[in-house]
Amino acid sequence: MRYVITALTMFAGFMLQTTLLQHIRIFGVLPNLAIALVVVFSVRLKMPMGICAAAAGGILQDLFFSPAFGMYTLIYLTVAFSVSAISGNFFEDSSATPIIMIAFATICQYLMMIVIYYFAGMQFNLSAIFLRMLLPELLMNAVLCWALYKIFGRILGRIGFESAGRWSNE
Amino acid sequence: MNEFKKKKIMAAFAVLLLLFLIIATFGGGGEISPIENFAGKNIAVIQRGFTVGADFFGNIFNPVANIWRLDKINKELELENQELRRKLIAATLSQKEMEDLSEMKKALNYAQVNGYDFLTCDVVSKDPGTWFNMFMINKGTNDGVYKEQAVINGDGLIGIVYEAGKDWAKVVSIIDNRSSVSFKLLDEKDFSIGIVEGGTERGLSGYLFDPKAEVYAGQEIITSGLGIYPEGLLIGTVSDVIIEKNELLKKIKVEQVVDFKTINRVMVLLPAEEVEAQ
Repeated sequence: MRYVITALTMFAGFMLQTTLLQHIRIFGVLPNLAIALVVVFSVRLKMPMGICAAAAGGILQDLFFSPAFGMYTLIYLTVAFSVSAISGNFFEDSSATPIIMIAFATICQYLMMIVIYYFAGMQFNLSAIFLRMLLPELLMNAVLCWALYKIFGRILGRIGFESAGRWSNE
Repeated sequence: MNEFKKKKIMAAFAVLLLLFLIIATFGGGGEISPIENFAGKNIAVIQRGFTVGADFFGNIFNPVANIWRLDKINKELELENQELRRKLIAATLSQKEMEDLSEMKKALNYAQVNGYDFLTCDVVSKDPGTWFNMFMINKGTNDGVYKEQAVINGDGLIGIVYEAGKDWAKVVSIIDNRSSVSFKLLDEKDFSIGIVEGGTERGLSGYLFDPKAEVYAGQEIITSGLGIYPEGLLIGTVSDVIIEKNELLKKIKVEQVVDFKTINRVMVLLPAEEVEAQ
């Protein structure tokens, strides 16, 4: 059931990202709701849920908006693995945790995209990527992820999660 | 084998499988797979509902959010109006010449066929990321939409059909990194041609084949008809000309005419023979 809820959350996020959130594009950049959700699931609920969120979000994005099937799935899975692994070193209730994690995830995503661009023979301008894409997206993702992290924390507290990664019935 | 080792092997297998899929499917195949088709057909209906709702609220809130820009827009429109009046006078003068030429064409039995029909489509959803610029439309192969058909709107060229399902299709816009359009200058004297491409920078960038071509900022460019795009579709306006001593080609920056943030209805250009055959 919890996997279904995670996948449905990612589906709802995908719907919002491809329709409603398009109206808040600033200079062509919009926050990445999928990666923010993957980070929130990975930090709050640890590896299995993070992987499930990453797979659901990645497959959806690959089906409709990817030049190659598997690209977004690979990126989000890498993010989920890495964030789940390193988030244990941070205080879960600290407001800085989601911001540090999303910054790490966004930079990780950009590095992987640059590698894919390079091997696909696509031309890119590193300074334009950094200034015009990465910085604004990083800021937007940080705000979005921080808000989602707080909301999720409250929801999880109410419905019976004792702490991150440990479901009360486990 | 302990649990940790098992997980490691599974992760390595998943990465290899995904890498294989990425390499095998890069660039799109033209026809959408049955799984994509099924998912797209069902999800497009929900997405269209979301888009209509989002557009409704966007149309209400966007003017309010941009109220500080209204004075600037007003001044720009005034200038544009003056320019259009001047063009109207010039067009009226040349209309007589056009009529004479049309008469001549008839006399020579020269039939001009535009060669394309328009299919109006709704934009169902747009790319969720920043790296690519793609969107989905609600018409597919059932309506005659196939890979590499040009997509336009009232302002100008938007892009090209990337993959087509039965009832939906993916469109790649001209500002996407994978886009490349052959253009010519919209000038009375100089019809020099070149290539513009999308990329990670804002707008389009490209070059002219003729280093002696007279190009300046503010000049409009249209599709040349070479390659997959039909001739005469407005692409954008030259915003900058870069001349580098060590390079033979004249580089340009182009501001596209279409605002990709606000497009919600587009037209696919269908070859007339296919429409007649249907």
